[in-house]
Amino acid sequence: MSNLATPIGGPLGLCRTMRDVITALVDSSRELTAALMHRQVDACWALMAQQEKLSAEFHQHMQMWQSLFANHPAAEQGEVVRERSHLRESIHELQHLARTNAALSRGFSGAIRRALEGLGAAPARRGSVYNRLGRVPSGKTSVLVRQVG
Amino acid sequence: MAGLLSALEIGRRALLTTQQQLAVNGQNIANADRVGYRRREAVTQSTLPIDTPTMELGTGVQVVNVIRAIDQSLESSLRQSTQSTQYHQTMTDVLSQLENRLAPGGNAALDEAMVQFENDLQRLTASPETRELRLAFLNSARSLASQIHQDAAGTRDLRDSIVDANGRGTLPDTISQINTLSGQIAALNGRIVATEQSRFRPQQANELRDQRDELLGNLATLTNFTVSEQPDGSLTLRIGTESLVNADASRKLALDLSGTAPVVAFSDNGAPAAIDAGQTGAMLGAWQYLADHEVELDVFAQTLATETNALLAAGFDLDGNAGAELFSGSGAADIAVALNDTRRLGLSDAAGSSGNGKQAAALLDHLASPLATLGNHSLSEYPNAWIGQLAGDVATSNRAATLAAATEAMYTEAVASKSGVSLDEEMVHMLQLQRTYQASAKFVAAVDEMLQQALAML
Repeated sequence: MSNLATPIGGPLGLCRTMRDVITALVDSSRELTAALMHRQVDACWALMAQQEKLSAEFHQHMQMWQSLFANHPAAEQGEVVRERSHLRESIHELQHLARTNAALSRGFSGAIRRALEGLGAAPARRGSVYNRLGRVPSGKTSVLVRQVG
Repeated sequence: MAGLLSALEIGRRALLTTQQQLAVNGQNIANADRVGYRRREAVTQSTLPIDTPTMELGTGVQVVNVIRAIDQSLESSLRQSTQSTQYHQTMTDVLSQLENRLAPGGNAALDEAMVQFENDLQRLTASPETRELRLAFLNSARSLASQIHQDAAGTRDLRDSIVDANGRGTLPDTISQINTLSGQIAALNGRIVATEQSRFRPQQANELRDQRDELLGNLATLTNFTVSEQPDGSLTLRIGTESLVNADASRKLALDLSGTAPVVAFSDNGAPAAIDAGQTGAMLGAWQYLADHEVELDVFAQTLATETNALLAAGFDLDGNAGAELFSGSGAADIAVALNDTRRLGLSDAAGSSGNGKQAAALLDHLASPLATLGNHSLSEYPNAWIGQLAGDVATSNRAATLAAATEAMYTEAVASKSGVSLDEEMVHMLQLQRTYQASAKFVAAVDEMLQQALAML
């Protein structure tokens, strides 16, 4: 008798479950791309929260796969192999989307930083830090908006 | 590779769009303190998607227009309230000046002179033969005539400050300003149409529209007008039914002083401009108010002279002869005391009874009798009644000005909330976006790492 809360349906069932999660992540990533481009802050955070949940779910399934079927002969059977192949393709697609989103986010973030600097924002030094030897200069900076006018 | 190129293109467009939107944010912040600036908004639109056999692929986003955050009905209401405020404030200003001239410190000088004239006449009824009392009466008559002169001159000076017979004054200056502004608005109309209807690169002429709106606001302080926007972006301005500005042409206004009252008319066809608001409307109204007062003062002076002379001439002097006329002149400008010999005052009603003073009493009664020529006011109460009327008009106008200013402030606030720039909001929005993008980049990187592990396991 299994102590699992839900039946996993063997390696094939687990592969299909993981593929469903990845498909949901792919859809969510596409929506995140659109939200990033349209500067929809709330939608971005909602999608990130959704993806975090899906990622955690996927990670759980991955751990399960690793524990149960990584070295299991059933994982090398024809149908399971095909399903694993499809799953890898979906993961590749998701990676492609994720990297696009990461590049977009970094690009947007940099553009905003430059715009803020153009409007008078400047890296403001943190307050002096002292130790037993006296004041220690810090290379770390934080962005504060300097009031203009 | 088509997929990768497509993704890169989406990224390039998206970054370009973000930079354009940020430029709009930056422009808003940089112009936050500029009067007349209306907040800009970038209008974004998804670019045309690509149809693939399996799905429709998005191709990104682009800024299609930068528009001004503006509510035309609010702007129109603000202009109307400005016209009303300026009218009432200018009217209050002129009427207050008149009140200060005629009743400095709250004391109506003409009323005081009239009271003194009656008091001295009252004393004469008891002892009409006393030379000192007769002399005092003549002096108070001279003071009364002098005060009428002063009031008439003060009113005329104030009226001349609006516009005099030679066409000088504040009203012609205002007309000149209207002509300048309408010319500038017409010129901006032309430039806006040229920019927005350009065959090569049509674009929203936001800066020019801001300038035009500012000029409209200035024009609203001077006169009433209605505005209608044409499909090509130009504005048509009308005063009444006559157009002041049409497309890139404006019509000049001129002041016609040939009639009894100044008339503002269009110089090309002589059609009168129906100006009843703004500073110009108030000046035209105030000019007429002052002219009416001058006429009333004339009627008062004429009635005073006629009625007093008639009664004194019907009486008898100290020598038993018919009394002489006290006043000369025909109006407020030239009324004067013609009599110098105190003996010639006809204060008795019978020859040889110079001590009875009955004619003086009759004159006193007559001064207190209502007269049709003075609107059923008596000569003695007329100056006080008139200054009371003026004080009432000043108070009414002042209340209207206060109310109009409050309404204008309300609309100004409404326009500012719609079109103004909130520095905090703009900056906070940008910072929120930056934090979101930073978080997104980190999060996606973490997901990517997990997927790498997944690929290794599978």
